Parts: sequence; structure tokens; C-alpha cells
Amino acid sequence: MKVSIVKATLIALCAIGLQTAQAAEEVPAFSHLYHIEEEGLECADCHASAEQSQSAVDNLNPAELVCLDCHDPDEVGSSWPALESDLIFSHQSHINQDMDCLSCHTGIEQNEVALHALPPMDDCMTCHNGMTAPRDCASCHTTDVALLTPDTHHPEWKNDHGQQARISDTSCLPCHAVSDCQECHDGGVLHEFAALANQSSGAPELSGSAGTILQRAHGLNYRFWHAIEARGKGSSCITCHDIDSGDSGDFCASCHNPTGNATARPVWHGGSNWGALAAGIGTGGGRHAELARRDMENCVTCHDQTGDDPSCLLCHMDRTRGLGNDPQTHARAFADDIGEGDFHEDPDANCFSCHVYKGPAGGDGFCGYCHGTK
Amino acid sequence: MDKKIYSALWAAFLMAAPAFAGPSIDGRLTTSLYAYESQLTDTETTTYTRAYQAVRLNVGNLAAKRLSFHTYVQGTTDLSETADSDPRLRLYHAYFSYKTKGYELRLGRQRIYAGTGYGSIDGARARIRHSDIELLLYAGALAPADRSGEIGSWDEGKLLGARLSSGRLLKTDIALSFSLRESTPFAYTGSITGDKQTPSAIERMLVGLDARRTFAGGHSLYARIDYDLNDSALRRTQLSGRYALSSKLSTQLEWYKRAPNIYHNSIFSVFPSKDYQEISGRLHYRATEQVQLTGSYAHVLYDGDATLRFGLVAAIGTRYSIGYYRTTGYALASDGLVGNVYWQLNNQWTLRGELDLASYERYEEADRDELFSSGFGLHYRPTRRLSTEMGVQGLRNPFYDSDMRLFLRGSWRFFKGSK
Repeated sequence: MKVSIVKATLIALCAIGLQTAQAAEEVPAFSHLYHIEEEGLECADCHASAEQSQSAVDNLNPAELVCLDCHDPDEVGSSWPALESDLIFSHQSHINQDMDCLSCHTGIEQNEVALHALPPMDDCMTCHNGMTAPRDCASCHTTDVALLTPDTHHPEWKNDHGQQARISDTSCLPCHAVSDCQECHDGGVLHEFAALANQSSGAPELSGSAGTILQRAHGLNYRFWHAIEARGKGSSCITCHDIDSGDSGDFCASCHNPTGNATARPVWHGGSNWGALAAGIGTGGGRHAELARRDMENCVTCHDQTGDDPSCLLCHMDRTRGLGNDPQTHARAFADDIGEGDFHEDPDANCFSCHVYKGPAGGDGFCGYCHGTK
Repeated sequence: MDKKIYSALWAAFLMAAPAFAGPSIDGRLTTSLYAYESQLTDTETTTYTRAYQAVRLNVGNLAAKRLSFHTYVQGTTDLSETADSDPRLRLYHAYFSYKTKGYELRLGRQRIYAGTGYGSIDGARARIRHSDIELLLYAGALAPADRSGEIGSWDEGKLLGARLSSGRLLKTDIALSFSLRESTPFAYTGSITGDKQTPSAIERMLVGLDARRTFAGGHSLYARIDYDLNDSALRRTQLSGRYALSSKLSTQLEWYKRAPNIYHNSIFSVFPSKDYQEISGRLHYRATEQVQLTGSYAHVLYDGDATLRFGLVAAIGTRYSIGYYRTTGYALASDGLVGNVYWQLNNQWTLRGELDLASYERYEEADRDELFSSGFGLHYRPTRRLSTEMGVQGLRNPFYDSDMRLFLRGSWRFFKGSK
């Protein structure tokens, strides 16, 4: 299987590598500045058909005859071809809304080279903001939304966009609304059936104008493979999936909760060197302690850090008098780093989940670590 | 019954809306049907037909054009079998926004992305912008994890914070952020003592500094530090740099070190645990205007172990892509091949196809399991307001011998501009 996957990849890469580059477009020279300022021409003198144009692919460039009003035939260069465009655009409807040419073609009157003076999309979005004009991609673009990606969205963009989004959301806003982010970044609990075994993975999200059929945050079989992603830290689950929402649940533990269900125990738990439950005091905790130090997030997945699953407290309790006679929980310098500690002010501090030995009166027990004899 | 605050908000809005002159309405209705027949064994199959209705609605230009209302909600139920949780509603956001020049106030359910703070809250967000400096303040109860219409309880979970950002300081985008996320754990009974344990809230209080600078020529640098105020320790340190070797070839290197995502006062916070480190690199080659190749490599370091992640993706524009991914080490071994095709036939029809193959280890030294999924769909857009799509999906995995699915969707967008 592995070898065939590699072969298939290499063959596909070779095929893709045969693609050729597109030729650069040549643009004939033309000075808008000269014709407007020196000759006093209006836009409509050359672009007469713009006022009635209803399509973005209409050729609104002046026909050669227009130029010949003033120029000799040998002064007139090649004609300007129509633009190729995926836009749905009507000059007529924009002009009918009292917009003049320079509202969109800002700066064209100073242009000395006949570059295509299309406005940047940011300018469009000042009106196409969902209030003055619609902001849906499909309102203006004929290209499928899934294919509309700017140069900034390179193939690794998914891994990088968080950097910019943490600082400011302004660079996303011209194209994306809050709802776009939520289509990936607001993973609710997707299973809707009481019987977990029958639930579907990869149900369609509520994506907007883009097709949802194959567009999901995760692949259809992700449910079976997601542990590798989580252990390999390839992405941060908690960016989208809440693990701390109190009564409404811990996303991971909603499936991985072992309480009352011994069959949910992974096969790699247990064995003679596992440690937990089987190990004696002072044995170092065996493999379970080693794995916990290595990847505590992996423990939290099932053993619910909101407290719903008290598995750890089966052993990690300070219930008998004297140091060293209960399973060691803290790192050696733990007491040096806690300072005053929450426990002085907070009777519900987590310390009291484990330190249940009350001790005799006079400062023993938990208080006795500092104020007594324990 | 749940608190129906948002229902009341909706009702209030619908009643009040006509009182405002000429509001703009921008929205989308999306109806989906997802039917699948999963074969557990030769004789046992399950069939479901789920229906989804999503509504996105933005009403603007209210109250002297400064007030607007935004919502995004989805309802779902099963047409063939009824589960306890059906029908159900997910309210992703529903908030009022009041904007004046340089200021914005949002009230209601909303998603927050602000440096160290992120999540969905039922609360308020204020944004103040002057010149190129922006201050963002937010506070609210954590929205229920299932995004039900029930309003979150401040006592059970809260998120509050601030972000101060600028795009001009030393030509660098900089953000300083603070966030406090807190939630009340479940009470539970101690296994040995039999006592009821009611630990106080688990929380995370972070200060974050993000800095990003882009240079001419496509180079960029990014640095991030998250400091945990509860534990007085660095939670995450990250450096990332992108360098364009030529107009066609660029490389990116990244390093981060971070502590496990364990909340303060969680029972896990008292155990010793080690940080993770990751060193990764990417190479991006634009062979032609259309053809791009990207290779990525990541080395994740744990205490006494490591994971390697490797990926190679080739893409022609956004239309065709094929990628190979491999993982080895602590995360367990996996190999995956993913191919996608988006073929727009004309302005109205688009074909889509997807094929995924993978083999992976479920646990150490286990035989590999294999996964297969495929999809083929057709998107038809008869007008700019209406789009429809149909697709079939086929899966095979350790659980299902075969899982065939049918997907249908129609989406209608509507807009009414304000006067």
C-alpha cells in the first residue's frame, strides 16, 4: 500500500510538471494623461459604448476609427483586445446609480501607460459591503468560489493564516465575513445520534456560497485518523473544539469518556510496566507516568480536564500520614514554585481534591506540610 | 425549557425592523439533504437522511445607518430516524453592531479572535480605532459547546480580554493581547473518600505578544510569545521566517516551544509535564504561473520521543492538486494520498472530485488499517442568486465495509439595498 501510494504520487507530480507557462500579455503604449489634459477629451469621447455596456467582457476600448479622427493611420497601433474576465459587471447599472468613471477608475487621468485600469477589489468592497450592494462572491464572480483564491493564499496558507488573524482581522475582511471563519473555526459537537457507533463523520458544514459537498474542515474518514493528527501536533484541536465549556461539555470527552465503560480503554494501556494501579509507591509510576510527562494532552483527551472523570484520583491521593507513603504526584520543586498558593484563599482549590488527609488538630494534614509535622 | 434569550432577540428585531427606514437586507438560505447507507456487516445496515437548514442574515443601515444585525444559524433533524437530540439548532452568531467612525460595539453571540483570546461568547465586544492603532475589548459568557440557542452562563464559563494592535510601529504589525478564559468544572465524587469534590474554576490567563513584518520581495518574519499569568511561565514561544530565494522559490522555517494545553486548577495541572517543541520547514516552488509544488517537513520533539511529519503537494492553480503525507514516530505511522479536482465547465457548471487513500497504525506495532474515501459532485449555478449541487461519496474504513452517501444542496442568496 505504502509503495503504491509513493509511486502514484511521483507519477502525478511528473504529469503536473509538464504544464507550461502562459505567455506574458503585451500592452500597447497610450497616455490617458495627455489625451485628457492636453486634448481635453472626456472618457466617453473614446469609450462611447461604456455607458450602455452590461457585460465585463464587452470591448470598451476605442475602435481604430475613433483614433483616426485625430491620428494618421500609421500612428495608430494595434487595436486593444477585450479583457478576459470572470466578472459579472454592468457599467450601465453603475452609471445609472450616479457613479462617474473616476469613482472606480481612480487615477486613470494621470496614467501615461495604457495599463488596464481596473480598480482594486478593496475599492469595490467599499460599496459591496452587504449594505449598499451585495457582498457575496457570486454576485460578481462567475468563477466558482472554491477557485477564487488570491496569491497570498498559497498552498500552505492554512497553516499560516493564524499569524495574521491573531494580530488583526482587517486583511481578511475584504473577502471574508465572520461567518466564513466560523465554517471551520467553530466546530460544534457534530454527532447527532444517541448511538455513537452509527454516527456519521464529516457531515456537511453550513458553508456559504462555496460548495460544501467536498469542502469540510476534515476529511470523511478523519474520525479514524484524527489521533495521529492530535498526537503529532499537526493542528490545534482546541482552536475550534471547546474542551472547557462546563455543563455543555468537553468536546474530546464527549466520545472518549471512559467513565463506566471499561471497553473504552485503549489497548496500549496496561501491561506489566504500565504503572498505574499496578505499581507500588515509589516505583516511579512506570510507563503511564513516562507517557504523561511526554504528552499530557493525550491524557486529557479521555480523562477530561474539567473534572468529569476522576480516574487519576484512584491513586493520586494524599490519604495517609507521612511523606512518601502515597503515590508521588508533583515534580520535586513543585512546592518551591507555588508561592502563597490558591489554597489559602480558595477552599475549592484543586489541592483539596487529592489532599484529603485531615490529620489531627494542631496543624497536621495538608497544612502540616508547612505549618506542622507532616 | 432553555432560556430563549435569542428567540426574544429575534422577535424584538423582527418587530422593530419596520420602524427603521430603509434597512438593507443581505442573506442566504441554504437547504441541504445528506442521506447515507452504512454497511456495518453483510447483514446489518443503517440508513439516515439528515436535513439541514442554514440561514445567514445581515440587516444593515438601521438607526441612522449605524446599527446592524447579523446572524448565522443552522437547524437540523433526521427525516428517517429520530434521535434524542433532534431537532437541534446551532446558533453560530447573532449580534447587533453599532458603528461610528472609529468605534464599533457588538452585543450578542459572536466569535472572538484576538491574540491569545478566541472562542464564542454571549457578550460584548468594543473596538476603538484611531489612526492605525486599534483597541479591542471583549467580555462574555462562553457560548454552549453545542452552540444551542441557550445563552451561556457567566458563572459556568467566561472569556474576557483585550488586544491593542498597530500596523505602523517600526513598520511592523504588532499586537499585545490579554485574555482570561475560565470555566467551572463538573463536581464529582472522589473514588476513595466518597466525598463530593467541587473544585473551583479552571482558568487560563494569558498575555500575548505577536509581531509580524513583511519585507519587499516576499520575505516575512513572525514572532509570538504567550505568557501564562497563572503559572508565571512562558506558554508558547514561536519564531517563523519566510524568505523568497527567487521569484519562483521560497522557503519558510519555523520553531516553536509550547506547554501542553492544561488549564490552571485542572487536576492535570499538578502533574509534571514537559513542553513540546517543533522545528519545521517548507519549500514552495512556483514552476509556472499555474503549477506549484510545496514540500513540508516537521520534527516534533517530546520528552524522550519525536514525531516526523512530511508532506508534498502539487497543485495546478486551484483546480487540481495532489498531495502525499507521511507521519512517523510517537504520533504513529501513517501514509496518505489526497487528490482533488475542481473543473469549472462554464459559468454555471463545476465538477468536483476527491480521492483519499491512507494507511495508518492505530497503536504501536499494530497492523495497519486502511482508509478510502471518494467524492464526486456537480455544482450548478443557474443565476448569481441561486446555486445547487449534488454529490455522491463513498467510504471504506475499519468500521464500515461500505458507506455510500448522497448529498443535495440548494442555496439562495438575497439582497435588498438601503435607500
